[in-house]
Amino acid sequence: MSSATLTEPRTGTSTRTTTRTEPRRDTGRDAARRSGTSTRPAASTRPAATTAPADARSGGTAPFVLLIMVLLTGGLVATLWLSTAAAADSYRLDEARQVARDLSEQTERLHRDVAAAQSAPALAAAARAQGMVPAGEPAVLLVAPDGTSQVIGDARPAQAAAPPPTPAAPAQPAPNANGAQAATDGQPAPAPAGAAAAEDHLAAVPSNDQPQNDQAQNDRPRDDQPRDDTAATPVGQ
Amino acid sequence: MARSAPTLSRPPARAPGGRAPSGRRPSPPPPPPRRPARRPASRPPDPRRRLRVGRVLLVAVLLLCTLKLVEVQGIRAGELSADAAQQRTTRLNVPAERGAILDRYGTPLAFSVEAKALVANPRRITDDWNDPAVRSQPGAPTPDQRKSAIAVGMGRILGLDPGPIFASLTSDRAYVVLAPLVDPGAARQVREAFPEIAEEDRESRQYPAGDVASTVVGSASWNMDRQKIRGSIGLESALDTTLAGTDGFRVVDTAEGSDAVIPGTTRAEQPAQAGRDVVLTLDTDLQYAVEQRLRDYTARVGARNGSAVVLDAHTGQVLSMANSGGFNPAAPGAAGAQLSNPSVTSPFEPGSVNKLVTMAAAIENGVARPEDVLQVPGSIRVADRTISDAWSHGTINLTLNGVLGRSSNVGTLMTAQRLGPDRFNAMLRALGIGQRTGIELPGESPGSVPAREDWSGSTFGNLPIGQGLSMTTLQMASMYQAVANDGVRVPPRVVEAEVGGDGVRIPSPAPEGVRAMSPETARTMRDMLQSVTQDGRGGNRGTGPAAAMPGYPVAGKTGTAQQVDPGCGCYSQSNYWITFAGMFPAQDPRYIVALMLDRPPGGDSAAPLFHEIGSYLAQHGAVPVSTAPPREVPLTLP
Repeated sequence: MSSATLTEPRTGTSTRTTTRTEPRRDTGRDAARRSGTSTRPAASTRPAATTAPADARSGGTAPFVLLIMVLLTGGLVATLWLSTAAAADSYRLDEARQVARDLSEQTERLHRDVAAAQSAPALAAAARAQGMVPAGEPAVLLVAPDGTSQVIGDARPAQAAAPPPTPAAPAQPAPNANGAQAATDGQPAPAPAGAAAAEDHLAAVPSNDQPQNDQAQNDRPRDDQPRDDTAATPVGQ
Repeated sequence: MARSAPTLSRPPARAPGGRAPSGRRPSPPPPPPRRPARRPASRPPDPRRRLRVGRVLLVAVLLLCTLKLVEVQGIRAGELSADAAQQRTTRLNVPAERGAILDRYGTPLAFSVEAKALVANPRRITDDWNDPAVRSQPGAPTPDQRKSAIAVGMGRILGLDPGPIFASLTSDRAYVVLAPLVDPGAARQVREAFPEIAEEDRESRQYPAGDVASTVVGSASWNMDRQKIRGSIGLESALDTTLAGTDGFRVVDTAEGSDAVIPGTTRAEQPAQAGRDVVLTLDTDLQYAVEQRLRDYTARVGARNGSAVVLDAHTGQVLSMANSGGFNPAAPGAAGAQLSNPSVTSPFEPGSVNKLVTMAAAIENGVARPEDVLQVPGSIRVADRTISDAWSHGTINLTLNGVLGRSSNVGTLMTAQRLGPDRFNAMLRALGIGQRTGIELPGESPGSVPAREDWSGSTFGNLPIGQGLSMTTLQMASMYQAVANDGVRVPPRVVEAEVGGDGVRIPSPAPEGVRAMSPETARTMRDMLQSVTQDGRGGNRGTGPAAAMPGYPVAGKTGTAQQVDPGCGCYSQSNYWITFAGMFPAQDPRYIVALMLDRPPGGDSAAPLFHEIGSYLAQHGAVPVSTAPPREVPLTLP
């Protein structure tokens, strides 16, 4: 500020010098000033050709601004729309992921259940629950080309509840008994009836087996003692 | 334009400067009225010293910056970047899924499923619900009420008893596991209901077949230290590396102090390599049937325990390996569980089953033929010991068939003495006795055979009749497999293949067969072994006709060995190992079955058990029946 006050009186001289130099610089700055005052003389020399673009330029500014505004607005709307759509999609994606996760968990669970249900002990327990018994040794019927046949082995009916339950598997008697009970409670003893019917068709049933089997089957619905009956009977016979 | 201003203002500055000597001296007098003191003080440092001081200051600051830069970038670079990495970067473990164990038909014996452990911090629950802000709200439960609600809710969702959960929640600890293995869906349900409960990733090992083949497959459980499931028993332990796979990792940035991954910050990622599935040679259905029959029979005869091995006659693959004991792989610590696999870990003295060695060596070396007749006295003296037959008799005429079929100790020792100890020893080794079979199972015992140079005079009176040496049930089966496979013993194996994550099946390398005897000798032996199951009259009856099966000729050998009484260090007169090893159909065997029963009080034979297992095998394997009448050869001659 102090310098400004000092130079103040001399500003008059400085303006003077600038006014003096003005005419000299004028010639040198043609190019710089072309857009301003120097265009007018040029316009007068070429009236039609130059005025037309000047009009177009002045008339084209508003549409250009409009265009930009439209573009900006369009862009804004597009951005909004895209982000909204993305947000909506992300909800759907999340939902789909959840469904996929639930389904894969369900698959795993079902795999596990199927594996457990088709394992040999589970099948054996299920068969016992339906009143089935191990088949024992089958006899083989060999048919020769000439039509004659030959029985190899000793055909014997499967014995109900034989062989006696293994003491090594204490868990088995309970489901077996319960299963048998449940089966007979649910339906009026279908399994023993079927088994008895099957045995009727067997010609080779030893006479002493029949009452024993019937005894075991009749005992089962009443109480859980068929095992004790058969445990006393020699298995080999 | 910015430039023009200084150029314009300079001339006035220069003008006084140019006149400095003359202009300045007169000029001080006029300013004094305004600022008398400042002018002389500020004037001298103004142009250059200020610049110099500024420059020096700038250089000093720059130097400081450089020094700090060197320190940060050079000297402490490692430490600082480590600190930074520790703050942000977290290495997350990507667990590899453990491979499954399948039987030869692809039935799963063990596999893993995803599970969650539900954990909680009881102290924090207490603090949170004791918070004054929470307490001031009307109706807010006390910590104990809340814990009780959690226990009851968890019990309802998971189907568990809420008692132990409540007990864990009320303990004064910072970490309790409320439920170790929970289905992920149920775990989510619990966490949604009770935000105090956290979950941790676990893997649950499933054994759908329960205790079937448990002593072979073994058991694996969660290891807290390694945060991974780990095999502890059986094949789960022996093949742990194969089954476990390799964990992967992800290096990500996380919010400090939590595991929340900042999206898009994964720096490095290595996917986990899932463990390989292991396909066994076992057949689960057969395994179940053999186990049932073995347990049933062991219980019926009152034996302490028993073991059974079924081999494929040609490949030596183990189709079934059963023990009368077993365990539930889901809870291996339960009372009464037998975790070991005696079929491979517990050797026993085989008894007469070992007479095969003497006979095969005698036939192979041309020392004897099946039809040769031996005059067998009631007893024989070997060195200082007298050995007699199991039944008392005077001198009788037995064919070699009869010596084997009626299991004459005296006849066998007479043949062994003609053979000589060296050739006997060579056959014993060729049949794999005293050596591990190399099966993949852990803890295999090689059994024991005294070294040839340590044999005393009486040793050679013991070994041919199967005393004084020991073998496992598996070795016994392998010995008979050589006879079934035309003299080539293929060491038994239980792992058939490994299946990688890409589904590529890598078969286990086939073990190299060992030729123990010529095909002719093997065929002769199969004929001779049928004498054992021959059900002739009087002296033509073998020791094991109970093993015979209608339609299938059976070649096998019974055995009874005295156990050593630890009290006297001598052979017990009441405790026996009862053995049976056999094959069928005799002429072209499909299956080898070896059985051992430990101390049945009545000394019952194991032949009926062979019959039971054989009958199932014949059905299960659809073995064609033979219409030829059972072979019957003279065993005893008048």
